[in-house]
Amino acid sequence: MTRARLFRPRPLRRALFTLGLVGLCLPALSCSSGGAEPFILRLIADDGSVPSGPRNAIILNAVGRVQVVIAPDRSSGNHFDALAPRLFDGGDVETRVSAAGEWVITLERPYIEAHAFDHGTTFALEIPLAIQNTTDDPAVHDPLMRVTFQRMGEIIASTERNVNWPLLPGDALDVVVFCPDATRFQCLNTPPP
Amino acid sequence: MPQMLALAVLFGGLCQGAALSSASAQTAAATEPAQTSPGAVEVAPPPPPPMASLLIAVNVDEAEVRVDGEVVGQSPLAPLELPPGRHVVSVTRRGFLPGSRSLGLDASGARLDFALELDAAHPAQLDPEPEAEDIASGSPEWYRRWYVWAGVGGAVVVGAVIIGVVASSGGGTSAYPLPPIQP
Repeated sequence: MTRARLFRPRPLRRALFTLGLVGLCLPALSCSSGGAEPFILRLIADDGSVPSGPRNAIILNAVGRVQVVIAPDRSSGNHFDALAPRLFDGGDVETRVSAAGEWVITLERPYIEAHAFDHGTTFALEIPLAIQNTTDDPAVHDPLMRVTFQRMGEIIASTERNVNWPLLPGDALDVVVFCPDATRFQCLNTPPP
Repeated sequence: MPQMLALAVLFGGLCQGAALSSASAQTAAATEPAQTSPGAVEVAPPPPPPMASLLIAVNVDEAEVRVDGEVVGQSPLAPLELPPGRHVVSVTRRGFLPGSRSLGLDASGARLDFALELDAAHPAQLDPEPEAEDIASGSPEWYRRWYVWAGVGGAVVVGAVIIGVVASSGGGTSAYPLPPIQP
C-alpha cells in the first residue's frame, strides 16, 4: 500500500476506528477479570473408598449447608478483625467474623446445588476466595480450618486441618470431608433403620 | 418449399398490381384536363435536402456526443443522418480530456474516431461512495459506509461493557473476600 493510499480518508478512518475499539474494549475486559486470580478452596466429599478412613460415602442431596471456618491461633493473639456479615449470591452465601475472631463462610443449599460437581457417590464444591493480604508475617501462625457438611441443623460430615498461611491467589487447596459412622445414613440421605 | 414458392408468386403479383395501378394513375393524370385556373402558376415544393451518414466512434463508452453544440447521445452511437456541410463534433466524458473536431460532410458520409485520454488532473471517481438508496435496497456497497461500522463498533463496546459490569457485580461466580489475619 503506497503512502498516498494509506493516508486516504477511508483507510485512515478504519484504522482509527479499530484502534478506538480496541482501546475501549481492553479496559472493559480487564474490569471483568476482577483483578487478581482467586484462591480456590475445593471441598471433596469422601466417597468411602479410603480403607483407613471412615468409609462412608456422602451424596450431594444429603447436604443442606456447608460451613467453612478459619480459626487463627488464639494463643498467639492472632485473629480476624471484626466484620459485619456480608451476603452474596442472593443471600445463599454469607461471610462474617465471629465473636471469637474466626472467619466463617456459610453456603446454603441453592448455592451448593448450583456449583457442586456431582459424581454420584461423591461430589466436589469449589469456593473462590479473594485474598486481601498475601504478606507472610512471621507473627501470624497457620490457622485451623474446619469444614462441616450440615443437614437439617445436624453436622453429618466434617474435617479439620491446618492450612499454610498466607493463602496465595491462583493457588488451590483440596480438602476431603469425611462422614463418620454415626451419621452414615444421613450422609446417604436415607432414614436410619 | 411449395409454400415459399406460393408466397413469392403472391408477393410478385402484389408488386405487379401496385405498379399497374401506379401506371394507370399516371396515364389518367396525363389524359385529364388541368383543373387549375388559367392564370395560376403551379410551384413544385423543393425536394428535401439529401442526408449524409456520419459515424462517430469513441474509445470509451458513455461519453456525451454533441454535434454543432447539440447533444445527440452517448457513445456508442448509431450512425447519424446529417445534412451535408460543415459540422463540429465534440465528445466529453468525466475524467477524460474532451475531444472536438470539425469536418465537412458530403453525401458519401464520413467516420470520425475519437480517442479520449485520461485527465490526470481530474480523475474520474471510479469507486464512488454508495448512496443511501444503495443501503436501502440491500446493495453490497452498504458495508463501506462508515456509520455502519461505527454502529457495529458501538454495539461491541456496549456489549463488552455490559459483560464487564455483570461479571464484576457478581453475575457469575464471584470470589468471596478473605480478610487478613491480624497478628
